[in-house]
Amino acid sequence: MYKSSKELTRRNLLKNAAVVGATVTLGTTLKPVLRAFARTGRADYEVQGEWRPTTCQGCTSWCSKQVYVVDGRAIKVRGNPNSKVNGAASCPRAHMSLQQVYDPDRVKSPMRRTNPKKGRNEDPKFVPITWDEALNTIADKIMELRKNNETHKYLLLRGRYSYMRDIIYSRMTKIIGSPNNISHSAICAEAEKFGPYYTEGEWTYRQYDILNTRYIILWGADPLAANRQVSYYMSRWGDALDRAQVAVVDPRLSATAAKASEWLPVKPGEDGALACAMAHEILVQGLWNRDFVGDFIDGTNRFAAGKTISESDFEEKYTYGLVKWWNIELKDKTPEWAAAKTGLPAEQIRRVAIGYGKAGPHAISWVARGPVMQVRGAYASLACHALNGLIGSVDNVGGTLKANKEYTQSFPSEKKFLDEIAQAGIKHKKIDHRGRLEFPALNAGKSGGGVVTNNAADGILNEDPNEIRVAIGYMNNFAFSCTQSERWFKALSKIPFSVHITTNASETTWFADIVLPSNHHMFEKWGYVKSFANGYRHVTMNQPVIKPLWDVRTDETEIPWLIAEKLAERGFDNLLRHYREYKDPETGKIPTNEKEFALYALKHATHKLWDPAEYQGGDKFNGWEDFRKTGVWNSDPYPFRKRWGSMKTKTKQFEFYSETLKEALAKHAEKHAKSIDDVLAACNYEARGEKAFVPHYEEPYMYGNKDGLVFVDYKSRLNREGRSANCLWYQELKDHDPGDEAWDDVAKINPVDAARLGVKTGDRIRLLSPTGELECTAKLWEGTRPGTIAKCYGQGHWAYGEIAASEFGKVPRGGNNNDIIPADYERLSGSSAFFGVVRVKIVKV
Amino acid sequence: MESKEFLSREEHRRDTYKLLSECYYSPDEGLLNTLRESDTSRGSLYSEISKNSPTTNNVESLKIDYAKLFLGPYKLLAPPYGSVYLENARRVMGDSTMDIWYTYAEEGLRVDLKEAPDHIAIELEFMCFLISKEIEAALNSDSINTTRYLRKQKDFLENHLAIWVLEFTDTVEANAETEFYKHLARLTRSFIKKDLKRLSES
Ligand code: SF4
Repeated sequence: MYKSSKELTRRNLLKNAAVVGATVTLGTTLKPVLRAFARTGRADYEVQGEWRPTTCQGCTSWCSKQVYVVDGRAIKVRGNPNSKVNGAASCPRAHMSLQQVYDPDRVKSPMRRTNPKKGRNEDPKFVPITWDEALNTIADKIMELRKNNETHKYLLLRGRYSYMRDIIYSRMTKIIGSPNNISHSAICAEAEKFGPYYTEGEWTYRQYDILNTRYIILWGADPLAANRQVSYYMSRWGDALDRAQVAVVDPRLSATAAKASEWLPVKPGEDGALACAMAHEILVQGLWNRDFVGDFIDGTNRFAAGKTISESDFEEKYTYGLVKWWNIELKDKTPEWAAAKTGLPAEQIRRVAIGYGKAGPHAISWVARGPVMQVRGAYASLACHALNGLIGSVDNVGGTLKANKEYTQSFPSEKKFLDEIAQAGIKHKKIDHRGRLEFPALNAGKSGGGVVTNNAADGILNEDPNEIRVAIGYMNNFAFSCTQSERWFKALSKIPFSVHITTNASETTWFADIVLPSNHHMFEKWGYVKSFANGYRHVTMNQPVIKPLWDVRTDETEIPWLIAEKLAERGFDNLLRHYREYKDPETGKIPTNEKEFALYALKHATHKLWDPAEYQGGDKFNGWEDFRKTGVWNSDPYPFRKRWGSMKTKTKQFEFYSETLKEALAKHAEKHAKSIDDVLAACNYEARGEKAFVPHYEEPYMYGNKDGLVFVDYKSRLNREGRSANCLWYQELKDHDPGDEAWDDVAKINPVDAARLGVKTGDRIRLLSPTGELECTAKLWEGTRPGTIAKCYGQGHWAYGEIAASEFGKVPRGGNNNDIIPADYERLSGSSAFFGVVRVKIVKV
Repeated sequence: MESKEFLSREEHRRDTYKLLSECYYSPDEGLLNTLRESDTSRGSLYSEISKNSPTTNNVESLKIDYAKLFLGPYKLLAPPYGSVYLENARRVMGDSTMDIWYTYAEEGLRVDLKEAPDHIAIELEFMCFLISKEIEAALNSDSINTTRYLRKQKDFLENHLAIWVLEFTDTVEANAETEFYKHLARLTRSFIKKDLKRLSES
């Protein structure tokens, strides 16, 4: 009876209007032509709501969740009780996802920039366009590169992702013919993986057996607020505290420190000194673990301050190079020596080291970003993690574990779809300079194996090794999240054509030519992620639990498919032919549209988890539907101590003297016809010779005047990655971060320093660094170590939405920490340095 | 059968809601043509809107203004969603939105656009729908349903559209850069105010 809006175009309306005399009058006898409505029956009501499974990626905990949906609307969220990793637990910020998905400021339609000028002060003046127009434009730009044999000038920038990522990040980039797929990993925590890799051969994060542990040392980690498995740790931390002592090493009083038995407010950058002194003390006190490390042949402890030891006196079991480490580095690193460096009392250092040593092997040295994402942080990463080796907690009950085995599979190979243009294109050098002498980025032992995310801005700006003409970014905001972010303003402005795929337009979108609306990962998308804690690993799916309100598509699957179709229309069908290989494992059907493709790709990747005929281990399902409804697969329980003696290091042992690192550095040096010492010098490390292969102390490298306060950056417990500042609850509840204030961005200063500087709580202040400045509010707070100034990362958006900015497009709410942090690197891992890297001057505004 | 005068007035109301509704979608040539060709003799509102309708070569500036006010991305200068004004939480799909969703469902309708049910264009079109049901009843001399649909219009205005449209149109007027949207806001406001008054008195 009533026409659905699909049939109604404005032309139709006009036709109707014409019939009755050139007005939009509909005539007495005509039924009105409705644009927005379709007929429905009462059947559309859902009498009761339903809990539907999906995944939260509000932080890298990657919890399995359930969303309560009533009449198509998401109402509330909780942990998915089927997950053995997080169970029913939920952190506070999970709930903010509801404000994200229903944020009126979201990108709702593809948009085109109408202002040809790009810059921080150039309003893009976006106008809505159709998907067709957007995709045609993108395909034309890519074809232009292909026509000119310039496919290496294509760039894909990836921020957060699900494991569907390779479809857009790797496959599409390669088949187009570019080496330039740049991920965000190096602004995340690559340096954190450095320690575990070069001691035990695992380039990954760890899980911690907190329920069976007796002592936890947290190095900058704040598991009750940020980092990994927050939901799980929040729910079980109380139980852990019943059995374990917790010591927090952090220049500011974190949420976890507030509940800890010891707070060690270390001077920023001196964590390596503290870890070395603890190792020294553990050895001198004879507290190392004999089962794991071994012992002196005659059973007498010869570790004494200042004394060199003969390697032949000690017989190691599952470790390698303990005596070398002692002789090269540890023997003089007494708690008294470290006290002078760290600003902590020697008694406290000794007390924590002994407490930790005595609790071993059921004790954890837990390394997070703070001590390691520093210019000279790689060796602190080694030193802090090596403490686990000393007490035998690696792979042990109550200790530090790797991820359990899982059985997802990769997507079909793209190799045969790379034509000559693509083959030539991918041979070009990458825009981020990885693998150059000064950027070893030794991911998993390989020179240039890792990314140097933030340096891509310089690569683009200097056209080194080449210019970038077409760029696509997704789920990223490098113009905000990279240090010295104004370099990205310039770099993005320089790219002639760039596309941003995103849920909320951000600072990065500001510079885009085309904006594509992405669906929300938790409510509207097919995907999966893997995550581990509590002795298990789970594979949990992102599922479309609601119908998206707006005209959005999936970043990692649907959009690349749609681009592939458009490329095929233009005579280049390799990408589409490749994507058509992602068949539905249940029916063997080839995908015919973007929706089928997204689903089949996921079914393919998780095939061995849900198909009983392919069963490999862990939870068992009787088919796809069973898996989909449950939402999560759990691994088998953790096999403790299985890796002792078979680690993936060069010696198969836990390496205190890293032969693995030695080989990696040697290969990198050789590639450049230089010595390892040259590499260390190019990377701004002090160590020379043998020191380079053992965990050791390095003097922190900082910018700014000596009399400034050391800037301490950290994460808000309300940050859903960097995407929650436009949520009302974020601002209203900001004071849930210790020391913070609602609706404000405060820099916390110790009252001692504040008195000296004449600053009071509530004063507007400006923080000045050698590379930038920001404005925020001063707050006097004893939780900040004297000599430092602590400020949460997360505020300072000027282009995100109504709530995030003070005055949209112009005045940020507070300041972005990255505006004052210089762009420098922990170069061995490629990581950006966020911590212990700059001193700032404070002036009252 | 109702008087010709009554019917003509109701048709005019219905068409006005429809025209206003069309004006709150993303502007394009079709809209401009509609406005250009609309029958100015049908009343002041038509002529008022069309008088201020921009010429074709201005579609781009109209689109920019439209995006900033109603679509985004980034801060919507005048969010076109009822829930933003009624619920003080600056989000869509609030309880008030669901209330509207049920109201539509009771009339056998569901929103078939990728938009929230309380989008201004959709609420305006719903008024147009209710009026046409009223006219249909009137043509059939069904006075019970004529009255019923008049009452529904009044309820819908009182419970939804008219509560937030004042703040909404004020916001549009204050933030629009083009005369077209400023004017549209003024006309929307005065029309709905008058219409509600009329419905309350009748
Ligand atoms: S925000 Fe992080 S910890 Fe919280 S539910 Fe989401 S993934 Fe889990």
